[in-house]
Amino acid sequence: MTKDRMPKLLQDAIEQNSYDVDVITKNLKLPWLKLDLDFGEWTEEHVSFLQSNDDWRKKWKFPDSDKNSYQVKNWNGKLFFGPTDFDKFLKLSGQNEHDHDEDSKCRRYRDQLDYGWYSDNSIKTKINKLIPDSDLNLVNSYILPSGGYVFPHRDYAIDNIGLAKIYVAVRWGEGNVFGQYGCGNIPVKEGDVFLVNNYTLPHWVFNGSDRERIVLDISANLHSDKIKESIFKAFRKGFYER
Amino acid sequence: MKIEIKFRSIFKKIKPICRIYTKNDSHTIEIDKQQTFIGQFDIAHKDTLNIEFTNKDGVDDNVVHIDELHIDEINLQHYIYEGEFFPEYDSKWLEQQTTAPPESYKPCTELRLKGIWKFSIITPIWKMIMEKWLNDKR
Repeated sequence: MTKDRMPKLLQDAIEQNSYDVDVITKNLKLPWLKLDLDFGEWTEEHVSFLQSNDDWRKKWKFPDSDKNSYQVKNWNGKLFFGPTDFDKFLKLSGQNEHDHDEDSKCRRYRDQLDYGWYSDNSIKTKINKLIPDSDLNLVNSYILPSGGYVFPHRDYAIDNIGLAKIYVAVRWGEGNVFGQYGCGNIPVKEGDVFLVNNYTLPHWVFNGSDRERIVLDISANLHSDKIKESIFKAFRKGFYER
Repeated sequence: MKIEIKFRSIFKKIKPICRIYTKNDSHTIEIDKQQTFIGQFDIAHKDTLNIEFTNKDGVDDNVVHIDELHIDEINLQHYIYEGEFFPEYDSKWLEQQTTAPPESYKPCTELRLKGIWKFSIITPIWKMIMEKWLNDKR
């Protein structure tokens, strides 16, 4: 008992309870949070960097590497930041984490392998204004032309995380869908930044607009100062403000 | 609701015959070497798709393969492996066995004995698939 006759455990809980990034992102399993991270304007120059002729599924050596398999239509992406020795990383992660998604694999080996930018470009400058390299695990774009889709699926992670993917809607025309089973569609508008949980619920994407959809995906240490601050703000907005 | 099943069969002279039924509907078909069956079924919210191989012939050794299953125009993909086959063993053969054979086989999409393949259905089908993803404990 304390001097106020309140048990110490209760007193500490009352006095010290605050927001915790791990509890919000790992334990709550929220489907998404809208963040206020401001990456600034996305010009056509940025967009041209984000576009890709690479084949994302071949790059990651997915077992079904056809980008037009019946579950995926025209979905593609481009890597900007990640493990520098990508082949070594793929070999390691393929042996151990074959069920896990790209973000999860990159988180898994962050302390064991060297990570860096694959080229020096304006995307790097933009991201580094908010997130230092030391807090990045993976930066890539996702490209989905009009009519493209990814079937309902779930991703799996090694660290039991929920909210994980920083999802920047660089180009997002009317008619785009990012559905989360049982929660409706994520209310994305062009320029928005969301922290997305792609591990708990089945989800799917479809571009029903008449132009290309371009997303920047960032896997980062969510304790990074600006990210953490933005998560707390979003949490307060969603659960405290009237 | 539409059910589409892609079958394959092996036989010499005796084409396999299957009865395909749910709680409220039934269709009986002969199965060619390659055959796609399409039928309309009244499917209850909780139902079972049954495929009964009725004319297994030990001499001909006819066999039915279930290669693909679409319900309500949705490909059940790998969930087809959740189907379970309950064979009806020949009683004389069964008496001769010192160890009892399995009551059922799962996964099993190859019907080599007389018996019934059962696949549980909950409608709507899209939600049934989402719930399977949702409850996947990987």
